[in-house]
Amino acid sequence: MPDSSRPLILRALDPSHSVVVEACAGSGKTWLLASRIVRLLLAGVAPGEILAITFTRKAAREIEERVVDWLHLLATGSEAQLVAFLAERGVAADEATLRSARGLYELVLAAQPGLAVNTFHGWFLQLVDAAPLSANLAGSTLVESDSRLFDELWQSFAAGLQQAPGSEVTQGFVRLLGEAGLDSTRRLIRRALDRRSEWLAFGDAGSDSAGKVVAALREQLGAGEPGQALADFFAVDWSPEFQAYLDFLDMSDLVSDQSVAATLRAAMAETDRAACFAQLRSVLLTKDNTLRVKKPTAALDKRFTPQGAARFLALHGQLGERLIDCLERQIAERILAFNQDACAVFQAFLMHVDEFKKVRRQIDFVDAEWNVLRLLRDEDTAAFLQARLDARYSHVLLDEFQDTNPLQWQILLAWLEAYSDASRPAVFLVGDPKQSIYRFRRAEPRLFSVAADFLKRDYGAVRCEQDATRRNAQPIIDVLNALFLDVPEFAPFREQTSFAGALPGRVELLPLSGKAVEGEMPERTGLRDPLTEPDLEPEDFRLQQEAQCLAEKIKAMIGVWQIEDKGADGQLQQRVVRYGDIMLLVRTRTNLVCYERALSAAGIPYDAGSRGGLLAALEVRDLVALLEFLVTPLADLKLAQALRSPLFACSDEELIQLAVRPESSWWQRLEALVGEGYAPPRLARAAQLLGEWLQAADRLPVHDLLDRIFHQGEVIKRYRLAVAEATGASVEANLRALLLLTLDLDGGRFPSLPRCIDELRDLRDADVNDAPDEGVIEAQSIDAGRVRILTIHGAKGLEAPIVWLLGANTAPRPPDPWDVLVDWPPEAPSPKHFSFYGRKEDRGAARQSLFEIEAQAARREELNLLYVAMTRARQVFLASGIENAKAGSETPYRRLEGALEKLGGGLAHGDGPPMSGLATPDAMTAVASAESIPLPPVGERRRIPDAGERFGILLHALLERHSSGNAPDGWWKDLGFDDGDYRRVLPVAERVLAAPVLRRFFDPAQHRRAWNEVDLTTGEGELKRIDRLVEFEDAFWVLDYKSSGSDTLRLDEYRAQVSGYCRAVAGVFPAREVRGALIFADASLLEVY
Amino acid sequence: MQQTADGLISTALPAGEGFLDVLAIAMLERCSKAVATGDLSSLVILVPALPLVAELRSALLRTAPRPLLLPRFDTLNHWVQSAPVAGIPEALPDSERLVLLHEALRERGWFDEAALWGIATEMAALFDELTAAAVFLPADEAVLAAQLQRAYALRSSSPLAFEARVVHELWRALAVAGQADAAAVYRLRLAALARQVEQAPAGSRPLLVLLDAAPDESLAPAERDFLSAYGCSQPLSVFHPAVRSAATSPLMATLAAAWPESPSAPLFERALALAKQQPVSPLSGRLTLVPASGREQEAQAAVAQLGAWLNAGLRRIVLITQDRLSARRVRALLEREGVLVSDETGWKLSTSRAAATVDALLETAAGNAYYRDLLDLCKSPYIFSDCDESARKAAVFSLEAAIRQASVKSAVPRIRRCLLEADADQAQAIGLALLDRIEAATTLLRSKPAPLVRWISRLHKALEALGALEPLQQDAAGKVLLDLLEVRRSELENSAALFSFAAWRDWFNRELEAANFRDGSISSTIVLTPLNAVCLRRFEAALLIGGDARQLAPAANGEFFNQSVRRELGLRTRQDGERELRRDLELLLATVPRVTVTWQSVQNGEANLLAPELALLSTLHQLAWNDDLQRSPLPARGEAVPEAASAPGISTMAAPVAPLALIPRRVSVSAYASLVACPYRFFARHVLGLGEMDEVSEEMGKSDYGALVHQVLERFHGRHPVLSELAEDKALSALQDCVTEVFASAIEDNFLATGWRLRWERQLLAYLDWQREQEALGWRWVQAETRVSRVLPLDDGSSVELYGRIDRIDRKNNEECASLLDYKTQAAKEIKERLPDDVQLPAYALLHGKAAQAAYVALDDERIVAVMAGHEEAALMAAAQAQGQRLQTAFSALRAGAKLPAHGVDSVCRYCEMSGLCRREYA
Ligand code: SF4
Repeated sequence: MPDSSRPLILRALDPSHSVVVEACAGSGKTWLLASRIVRLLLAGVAPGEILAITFTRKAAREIEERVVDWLHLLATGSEAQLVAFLAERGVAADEATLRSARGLYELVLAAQPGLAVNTFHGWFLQLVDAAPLSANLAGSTLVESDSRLFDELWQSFAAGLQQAPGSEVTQGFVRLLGEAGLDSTRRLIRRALDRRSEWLAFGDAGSDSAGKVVAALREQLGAGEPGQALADFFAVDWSPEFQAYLDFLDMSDLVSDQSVAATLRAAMAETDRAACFAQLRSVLLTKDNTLRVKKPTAALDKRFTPQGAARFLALHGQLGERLIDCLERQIAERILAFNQDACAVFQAFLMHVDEFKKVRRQIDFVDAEWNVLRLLRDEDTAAFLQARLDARYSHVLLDEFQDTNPLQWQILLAWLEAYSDASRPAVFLVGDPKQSIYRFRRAEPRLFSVAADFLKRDYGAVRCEQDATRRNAQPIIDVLNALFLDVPEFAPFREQTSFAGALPGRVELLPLSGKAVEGEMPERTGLRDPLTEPDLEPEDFRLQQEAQCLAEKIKAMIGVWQIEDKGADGQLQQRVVRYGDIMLLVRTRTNLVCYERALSAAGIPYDAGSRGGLLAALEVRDLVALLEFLVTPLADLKLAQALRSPLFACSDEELIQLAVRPESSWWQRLEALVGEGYAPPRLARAAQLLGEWLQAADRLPVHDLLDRIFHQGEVIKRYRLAVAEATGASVEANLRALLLLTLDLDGGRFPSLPRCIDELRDLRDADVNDAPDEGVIEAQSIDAGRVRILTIHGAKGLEAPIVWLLGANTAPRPPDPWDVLVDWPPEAPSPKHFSFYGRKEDRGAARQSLFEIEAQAARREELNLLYVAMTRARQVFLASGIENAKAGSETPYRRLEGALEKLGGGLAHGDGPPMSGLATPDAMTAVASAESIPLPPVGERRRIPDAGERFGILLHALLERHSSGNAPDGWWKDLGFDDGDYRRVLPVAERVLAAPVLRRFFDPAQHRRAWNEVDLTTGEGELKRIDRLVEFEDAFWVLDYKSSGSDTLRLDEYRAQVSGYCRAVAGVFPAREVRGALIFADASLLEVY
Repeated sequence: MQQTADGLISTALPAGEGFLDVLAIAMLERCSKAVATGDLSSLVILVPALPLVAELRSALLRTAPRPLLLPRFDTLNHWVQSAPVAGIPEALPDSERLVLLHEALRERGWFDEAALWGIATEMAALFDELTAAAVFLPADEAVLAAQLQRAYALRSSSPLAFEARVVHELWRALAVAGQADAAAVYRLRLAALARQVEQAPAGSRPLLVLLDAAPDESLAPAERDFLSAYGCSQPLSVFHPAVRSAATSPLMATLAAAWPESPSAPLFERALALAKQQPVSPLSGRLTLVPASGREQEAQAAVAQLGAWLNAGLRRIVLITQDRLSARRVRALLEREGVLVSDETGWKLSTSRAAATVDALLETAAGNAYYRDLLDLCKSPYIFSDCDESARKAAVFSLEAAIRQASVKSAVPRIRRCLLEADADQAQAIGLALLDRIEAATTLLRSKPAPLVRWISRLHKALEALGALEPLQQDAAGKVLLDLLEVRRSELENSAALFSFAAWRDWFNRELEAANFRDGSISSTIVLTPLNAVCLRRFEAALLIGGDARQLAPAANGEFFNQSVRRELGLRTRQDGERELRRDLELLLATVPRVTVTWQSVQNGEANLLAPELALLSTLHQLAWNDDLQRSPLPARGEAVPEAASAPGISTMAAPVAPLALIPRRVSVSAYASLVACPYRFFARHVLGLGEMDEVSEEMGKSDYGALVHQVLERFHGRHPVLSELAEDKALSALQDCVTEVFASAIEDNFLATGWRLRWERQLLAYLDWQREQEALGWRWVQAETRVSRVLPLDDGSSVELYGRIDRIDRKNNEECASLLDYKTQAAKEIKERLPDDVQLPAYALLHGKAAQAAYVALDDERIVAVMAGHEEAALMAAAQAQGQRLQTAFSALRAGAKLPAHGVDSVCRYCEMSGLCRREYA
């Protein structure tokens, strides 16, 4: 760390006090947090006393890994390394410190309870788990409330409403449907569901949030019942003034005035109030309900005399205002009525959800969150929770604090509250409000300063600000400063500096892609010939142009541009750019396909930025189609798709051979064609494999079936042959991801192929966020790496030498209507406002300020996103976009343009493109997997014993049990036999046991000793097991049971077997005579030795 | 030798590859007199786990000085359980105890009904733990609460008191029931057996015992007492492997340095000391740690390692995995290459196909024969076994086809009705019979609350009705399932508590979750087994999959209490678990000469740390011998390579030629439109004749909406051809009536369809306005759904017939000319945008022949407008001719062998069902 940040680091890491650090991007927040943990450990804090909370699981794992890696270094490094490491973190390395530093690794690994690095969610769940009984959540499983679950709830809710057509809720629901339509009603409820912890918090844990919301809203809007405003309007004697206004109009000879006068006259004669009001409105107000403009003019003075004109204008204003006021009150009435319905429906929906989940013992994150707050706010329970956890945190570290939401903050507060003052922990809080980009998850960046103030006041926290980055090159920081310094919404923004030293850097804007040039679309006379001439779509032309430019520029960079990189020795070195050095950023995934297609076409390997599209990928659809065919063999189209896929690689001509056949289903056709014996090899192969798989599909678990298909169908290799080199890896990754997905589905309860396919279908149709993601391409598969495409959100915490922001000249989409509006000021313990809203024109003046706050927060977040995007770039930041007149002047592109302008104009700033003279493209060499040496066969499937053998087994067992006299009733069941089997064998056994010739072998009085199933060893090092061995005075008898009759053909074999036994017994008892005999099912005895 | 506090003496033998031989020699020595007679058959040897028996037997064979009659082998638990001892009461079966706990909880009403089985199970586990640890709860609830308070270091509080109360009251509730549970009966047996042995003639019942750890760790207190008593009156020898701290070998010394009981010096110093003593690492070559970047990579790394071992001639290999999914993946990859693995662990019964069948039945019953469940059930290989398989499958096909076609969501009677509408054939007859049986089975299950045994019988009968018993009996998991039911039926005979279907099903699911089944059909020298079952077995190599901190972790304890309370109560704590884990690893490393551990260092993109035990070992090794034992994975084994004859080439744009015989003679207007949009799509649909199967629609969608609106308008105009003859309010209510009638069944089907109806109702006035305008212009509604067609000659002398159906035709009074109208539930703007490429309206004009105008009626805007194709008759007819011409040209070309390329544009391809056939995404 460079020197100028030393004092800050020393203060931030000092374990003895609480700290708040505001640190800019690239300044090493994770470094700081992890370092503080090491300092705490060094200071003797037990690992179990430390709780670090961050925002994502990935980040948590990263922090954990970082700490453990460092401790590993401390445990294994040289003394010099240790000294340097500690010095960097402000610790003087005396003998004792070094020794204890070396011990930390082991200490932390073995600690019980261990170091806790968690997400808020993870931590909440842990808390809920700690008190399952008090929370009445015992035995609950966590489910993510995803779109599929919501669908199920929504459908069942509607079905429930249908059962009670007359109920208030149903009627409210129908009104909502009428007002908002089906989709918007659904959206409204879904959005509210996502925010139900705020809904509950607003209702202050009571069961009637609906009532509270409506009451608060009624007060805020000052609204009455529907019709009140209109009634009030007409309640006073309204006509004289309108009459006066009419009189003026009548004085005018302007045609327009006369027509208005006619309307007004008609209005005053109208008996229906609503109609009357509408006409009055049209007289004074414009379509948009603003006052029609009337200005004092000479003509007006002349027409009405100056006093008259003044009076007329005053009337115009007053009456207009009254109308506007009434209109506004009508809006308020509508808002209230709408909210009454929405709240009632939502409350009923929540009850339905609770019931649904209660029966299934499910909870979701929101439940966890809400329950934790509830539990912690109860003093007794809070203390109990702390005790149950086994961990008494004396240090709480909060990472990425700008992403915290008010509810989480309240929970934290309640947690801290539960400590007695003496034992209360030190808090370390780090974050950067500039990087707050999670509004959609309710993150509240304003919390940062609220929390900072609180910690300063109550915890004596030290506050530090770090505005120097080690990541970004100076030119990038120049542009950053030029861009953000004067933007009022971005305040407070302190000028940033770079510690990146001499690292060369560059910011470059690419010219915007223009409109489709006229004449690009060929003029046609007459109709297009569809067989020879493809249709053309003009719309995406600009986008295609941008994508094209992207692909070309990347091709030109690779192997030509130079970047600096840490070499193996840790020193910076120059090397040429590889694909893996480039990160492409997009604001949303909307246009990704277009960029990806351009990269594909140019043969540039990339890691797709798309999400949730695994099941939409062609290769995955192929295999799912195959599976669907296997469960539903009448699915001809699915079969045809499987045949056309690389798996079977059939041509259209081969499909035609099937199409001409008479059999009814395509599978029957395929079988018949192949049965005739002259099918082409591909069809023959398909018929054979499909036939086998159809058989296997009945019983094999889906994953095992699919794995067999992969293997026998040579799936991976075949797809590799069928697709272009650059896409091969992603195709393979997707195929493998499907295998793992079915493995997961199989691992669950009750797997069957039809169910799995239903599940896959549901997953495919789910929201992008809930649908399975594309396969991850293995990093080492290609050493030059792949271009990464990420959303800005996805890129948080990452960096790359070259970053390219795509679609930079696009304005953010306006927020969707039909949503909930929540105002939770960061310092408040619960929300101050909760309501539903719909169309723009129905938002109402009373809520305007809240919408304004939302809009402002949204604008701020757009700036934050740009900040995050720019600060991902170590050396080069590029931005491109399309010409778009409607996008306005606040797009990232325009802002960057403005900043470059300030820095001297042009489209670039910083060092020239870092060229090297030579183009040395890294060859893309896929690692060819060597042919493996075949494995020797191991293991075998046991033959299932046939009826005869089973009879023998049971007979043996029965004789054994009987003669040892120790068998619980029903013992045969444990051996896999049923009562019927037993009854069949029993008489045979009884016959044997009762046979006079055999008597002496079974009657203990007639022999000395006897053994059943006895093992013995031979001198030759063999093990033998004898059915029954009986010792008489004169000799040992070896008996072997046979379930056949004495006329068996295998007598010689048996004889040899028993002789072997006899010799073995003779080996054990050399002095004794040994005799051997066979006992058959017919109770006969054959002496054989 | 080691003596426990209660006087049990056990001999420690150095753990290592030769452990069993050393043990065998020691055992033979202990009974040298019997050895001299050659007869050890009166001897009993107890081992920790049955798989060890065969191993120990061969060790005896190897080491015995002479041929012998071998002793009996058993495990302690089994031996005790099966020893004939008089006067031991029947144990309260666990299942019955669970019902008692459930009842006790239900009476108290503390928790949600649905939580009760879960809590009861937890409680039962806790009580077993208490019994095993010989802990008895204080008689007074307040005392327990105080004890908890102390352990939690907490002042009294309601949640704490509640926890104490729940535990205490249930404990008492069980005590009141009066019958000892299995754990208690085991204790009684031990005591009785000890007395019995005391009275036996001295020396008559010699016993040898092998433990997997020192008696303190491996035996429960009661077992220890029993053995020490045994030793007092009979010859008894107990053996166990020496602990690592005894440092009986360099390897053990290394492990002791890595995992000391309590570290004396930092790891660094211990490592240096070790290196000084042992210049060569005893672990190198024995242990390898292999990181992988995900589950698939881990599985591949594991298989590659196994392959290398097999090719080096090793055969006795153990696969250890805590993670069943990875195990399954590895097993499948091995099976590909003919390497079979014998699975000693087994699977949860609930993950079997057999259980899935039963669940499909229950789900079908619970969800009123929801079609997906019903079909899932019908497609199970286990049902209708008495029916010929191919006939059954054919019947299920026809059933599925009927359900899809009629779009029936649920209810057997409705499904039956739709099947009856299908062609009467054999498949239909069988299908109906199947439905009857399913109905009978589900009716059995949809009954009133009953005791668990009744429910079991109902299920049994239902399975019988489906003909499922026999096939389930034949299936490994199915048999386990049926046997389990049988066992529960006899155990619970006297339990009369009533349960609803849902509560019973919850219970049943838990049974399936708790029960295990093993597929014993494979015999192999490669076995799959959990870590603690490897103990002391002599494998040539071991592969531990899932060596990360999350999976290779001490077994979890119950949900109740925290660690300090557990310690206070004398229950197992996490520390005990950790000790066991280290012990298991120690035995593994000592007895198996090659151990490879794989772990996913990255999991779903997140870092995933190596288990602490292994990390410590790796670090120690690095410090001492400069090698952290970590290696990258061996190259993955290759994928199957296709034969050249059937291998695919690189994908290109499809452009087939249709054979003459398959070129349709008649095409609809929409087929023609699809030819214009994309010839390949036309090829797939109309040449190959492929189409998507019907889907059961769960919820009304936009296209259903369009169809209903069409119906409404057809019905309305059919009743009132001339609107102006109706008064305004009459017209509205007449139209409204049509809406209500037409939408009724959709709404009955799914209430949400109300939303669509409301949407259309908002348009009614606008529609009537528009209709009046039309009439004002002189147009009169004449006909709906008019079929039209026309034959067009082709170049080769053949012809093609174009046909279509026109939504609506209007005429002006007394005039010939007609207006062709097509309703669209879309906005006028959208329709206008697409008008230049529109095929439909000109084609209708062509088919009709004498149209003055043709228009789409856009039904989605506030004001309804007709979007006209060509404003003049002449222009329209010219466009019509041009379309006809194009169709003729295209069909002539097709008949002459023109190709049908797959060149649709994005907006068409996005919703094209043929995209899997044309392979456009790859071309
Ligand atoms: S996906 Fe596109 S190219 Fe392929 S058949 Fe359909 S419309 Fe034609």
